[in-house]
Amino acid sequence: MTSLLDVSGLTKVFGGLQAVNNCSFQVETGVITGLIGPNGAGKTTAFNMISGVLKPDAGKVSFDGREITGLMPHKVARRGVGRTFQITRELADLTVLENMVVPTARGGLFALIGARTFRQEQERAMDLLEFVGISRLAHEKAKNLSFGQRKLLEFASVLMAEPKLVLLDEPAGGVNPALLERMMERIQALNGDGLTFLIVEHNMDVVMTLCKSIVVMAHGEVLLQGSPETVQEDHRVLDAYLGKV
Amino acid sequence: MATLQLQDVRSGYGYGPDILNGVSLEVETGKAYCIIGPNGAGKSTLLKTVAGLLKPRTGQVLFDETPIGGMRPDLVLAAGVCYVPQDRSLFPEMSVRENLVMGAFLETDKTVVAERMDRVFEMFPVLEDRLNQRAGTMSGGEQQMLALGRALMIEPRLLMIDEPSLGLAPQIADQIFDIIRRLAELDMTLLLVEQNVIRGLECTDWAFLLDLGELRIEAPSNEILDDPRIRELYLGRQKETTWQRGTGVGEES
Repeated sequence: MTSLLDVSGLTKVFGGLQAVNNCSFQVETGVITGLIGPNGAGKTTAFNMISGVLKPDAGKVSFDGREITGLMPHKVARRGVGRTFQITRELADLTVLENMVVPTARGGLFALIGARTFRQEQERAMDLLEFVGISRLAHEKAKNLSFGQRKLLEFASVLMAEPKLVLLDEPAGGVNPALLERMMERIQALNGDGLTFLIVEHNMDVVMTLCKSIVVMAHGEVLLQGSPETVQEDHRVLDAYLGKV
Repeated sequence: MATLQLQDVRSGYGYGPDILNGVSLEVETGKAYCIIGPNGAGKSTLLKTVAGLLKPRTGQVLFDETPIGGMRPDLVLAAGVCYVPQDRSLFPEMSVRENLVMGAFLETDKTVVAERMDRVFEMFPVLEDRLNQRAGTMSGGEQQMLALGRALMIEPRLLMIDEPSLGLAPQIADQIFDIIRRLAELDMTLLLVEQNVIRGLECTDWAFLLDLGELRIEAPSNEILDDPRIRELYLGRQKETTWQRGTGVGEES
């Protein structure tokens, strides 16, 4: 298999703190990969460097065979990397449907105003809202959604851009069990169609169930990358979670 | 005797899901307890529920056999329960002295306040050296010491500390754990939440393991890690996947 995302030697220092230190791992095409580790391990910082939100101090990020290190977030997104956030970032006063259409104005906002593009985008948006199960809320303002519904909205809106890789930051955090089940099922369905995922998640049942490959980080470094079984059996992983260094 | 009892407590935030899913536990007078568990287990939520910052949705919290569940936080404090939150919640613009005095706001006798402050200085000499420094300009470790010192100013009978080592450099965290060990020897009941499980267990007598809002294991602190269930609770398990593509488009919630 080929790797879709290749992270090598990634490093980020905040003040005196090595948040991410010489971090290397791969996400293979078509595989759901998990990124786990105790609090403060550097998972979100790594995510931010991959998606262009933070500029790495050292190291390289390659996506689909091309280097994307240090590109602006919207450029990374246009290359085909979509991402969600721990705390959702919807436009509160716009409707759910508007939230879906605005961030992916690929032809620019002016093109979006053109009726034909808008209709096409709108249809796609409705299909995706249907897919995540919130089409009923399409004309509701985003601020009226529950936290879990906002996560589904964010998930659907990331899919609007037709990404090749989706980075999910804590999709299960703060989501009730019924919604969580639906979210997991949707991720698996999309993966079945060939979409690749990199997921940061603290709910280990979710990680162990969804992911084929797991990258374990601790203290800014990659401890190991392997299958769920390998990770569960490696004593270094449990030690890291228990604070034994 | 039980200082604190939780009886089938459910608790959570706003209209969100239950974070504590019916927790029952007992805390005996004078002992030191550590609550451990993976992220999202409900550890901080438990402390906040006892402190009165969250109202139990069902169940009861008893302190000295008196119900305190849902009582105002200042009244819970007056009853003798003090909570040191994760963010320490100091008054950053105020001096060390002013922060300590604020800690004793329930005490009106000035000589008592002065005596307590002396006792705090015995435990934290650095605070006496920094008496007029603004709290917000101190290092993370010093701020944590001030937060603990301020908590001691009301002489609580139950002291709850949430993640005291959070964000501290390892050597500084060591100092804080030494202090917590000394606090545990005082005539006070201690309830500690700590992400650094090994160190948290070292300074306590008894441990509770929470997972997804439920009390899963309780055992002496020096034995709990021998429990074979620990691995699964921290590192998860694979579920039988019943999801199939194209089916089960759930109804909207």
